[in-house]
Amino acid sequence: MNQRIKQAAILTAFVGVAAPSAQAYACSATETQVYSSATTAWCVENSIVATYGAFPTAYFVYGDNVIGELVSLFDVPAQGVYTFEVSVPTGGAHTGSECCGTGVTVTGDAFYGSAYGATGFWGYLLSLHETINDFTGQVSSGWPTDFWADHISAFPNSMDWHVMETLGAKDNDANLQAAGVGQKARFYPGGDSVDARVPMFDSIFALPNYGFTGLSRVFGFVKHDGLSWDNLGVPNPDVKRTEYVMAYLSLGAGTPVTPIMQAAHVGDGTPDGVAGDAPYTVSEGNIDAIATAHCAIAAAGSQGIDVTSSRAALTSGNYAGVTAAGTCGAGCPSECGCKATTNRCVAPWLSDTVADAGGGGTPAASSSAAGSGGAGGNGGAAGSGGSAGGSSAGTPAKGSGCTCRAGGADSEDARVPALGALVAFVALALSRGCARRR
Amino acid sequence: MSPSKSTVRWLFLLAALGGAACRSHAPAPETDAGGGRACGSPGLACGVGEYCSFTPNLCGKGKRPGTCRPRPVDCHEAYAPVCGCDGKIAASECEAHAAGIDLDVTGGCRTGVPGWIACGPRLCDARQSYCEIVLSDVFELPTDYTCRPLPATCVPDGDVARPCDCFPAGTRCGSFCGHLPTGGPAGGPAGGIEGFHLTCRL
Repeated sequence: MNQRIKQAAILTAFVGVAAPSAQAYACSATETQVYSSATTAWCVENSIVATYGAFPTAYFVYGDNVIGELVSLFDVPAQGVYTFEVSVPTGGAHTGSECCGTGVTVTGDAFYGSAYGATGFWGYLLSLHETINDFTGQVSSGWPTDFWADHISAFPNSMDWHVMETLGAKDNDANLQAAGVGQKARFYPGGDSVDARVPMFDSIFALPNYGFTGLSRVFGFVKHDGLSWDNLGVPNPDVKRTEYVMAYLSLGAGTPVTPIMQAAHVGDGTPDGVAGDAPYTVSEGNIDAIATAHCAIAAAGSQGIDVTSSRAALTSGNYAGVTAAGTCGAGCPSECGCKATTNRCVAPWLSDTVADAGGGGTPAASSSAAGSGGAGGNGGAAGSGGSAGGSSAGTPAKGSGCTCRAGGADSEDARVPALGALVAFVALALSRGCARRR
Repeated sequence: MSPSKSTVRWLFLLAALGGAACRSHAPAPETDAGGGRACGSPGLACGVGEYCSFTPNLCGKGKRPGTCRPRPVDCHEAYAPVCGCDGKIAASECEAHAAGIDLDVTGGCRTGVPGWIACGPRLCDARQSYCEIVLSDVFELPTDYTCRPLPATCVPDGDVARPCDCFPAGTRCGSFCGHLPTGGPAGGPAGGIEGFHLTCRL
């Protein structure tokens, strides 16, 4: 029997055992789909199974759980079936799958062998790591390179072990829990990749009412405000970029996280060790102003004030140019507080009253907080977090604002001139577009 | 009330004319911040004597457009094979660009070169070097791939690969070591030997 036939026979045997219900999927010609669910599919390069043995089935439920956890954490909807593509040994991993679009590609040898006390450690880590990259990128681009990610990978390194630990506990998977322990230990004193910024994120994660729920709130605020860090008009890293991120992390906590971060030498004037990165010191006043700008816009929007220009100012880095000024009470979202002396909706740690904020809450806050309500810093509103008073700048409710008539013979007639007008508009636009190019 | 058929016909004719007007004028390529013309999406092709260079080397799969760069004319580099966006291996980066091909950072070339291991967009001589991989942790930013000299303890013994513990303790990225196949058939000239990848995130 030649080698190819031998490999095919081995592969058939293994796949038959591993995934008897495997269905045809769009894996590439040299791969076999070894698992599929409503959430994920696994495409494994045939030579991997032939060389290393049956693909471990433990990764399948792990992959499903990872997607479920990250969809909730990042408040990003799943985009169809997410593909984990297990490639020939390359040593690498990256977002996107070669075969099937959305997903990740990971070197096949990562899923075999042991490291840091866990079987398949690198398989768990790399597939999770790339998926986190994927989801983080969908919230915003341009996360600070000096403490968040890009070879100083404190945030994903912290998330990796938290997710492993959480999913391991959920499934009573001792090996996955061991992988989480191993991943964490790498960055703490005595580990092989000590980095104080990982414990820094762990400390923020451990704050009251934080954890995955707090981070989810933060990502919800960022998305709801339309922020993309690369639109702030500053380089990366930069003091303003960090102040923005600190402000939003603080909004998730209801209290400033700046002292925790400066204790890890982020934004305290200490060089980050990367050539070309200038040290900087963040301003608490600026962080307060950014967080308050978020609150002022959310409240004002809910209170019927046009916040278009203020939102544009905030998202472009000009938080000082935010003129919207929402008041206390209804519309001041649950993650904010009330400054009674001025009757302004402000960052919760600037509040001068206990039971102050309104019961509104931004849509982002209410949808992502997983039932925990507010950020815990503003007294009476905590837990309300509803969407009734959501910001007017949010996405319109489904079905609202549609004045379309029901279909029927009349509507058909009505669509013809509308279609004609659309065609004429397109023709005009094309002509003008061409004229501009010329 | 329905418009007459002739009205509808005129409207569509108008649209067609608009489209035709556009098609009759090839869009002038946009210019990137560095002065090169944008390329890589439909209608944005480079001219003769140019190739489309992508940063990062995602072969147009990323969000950013490429930039037209002049093709080099004379290539005198030593043999240093690379993987091109066409899925083929070129003798050097210069040769690839001279042929109008950009490099593929994901190393999508499935046919290897005897004695060489794939290392992102490049290949490393398995008898002299290993592939160090520092994984990116930012969406769409490329991983760093570097061919590094093999320590003497890891140089293959004939065609027999050394185990991963040949690397001295403390070698960067040494905690995830694996073997990489070289191109070519086992038993062929320099084929069949294995190289190493050392992979990490920093």
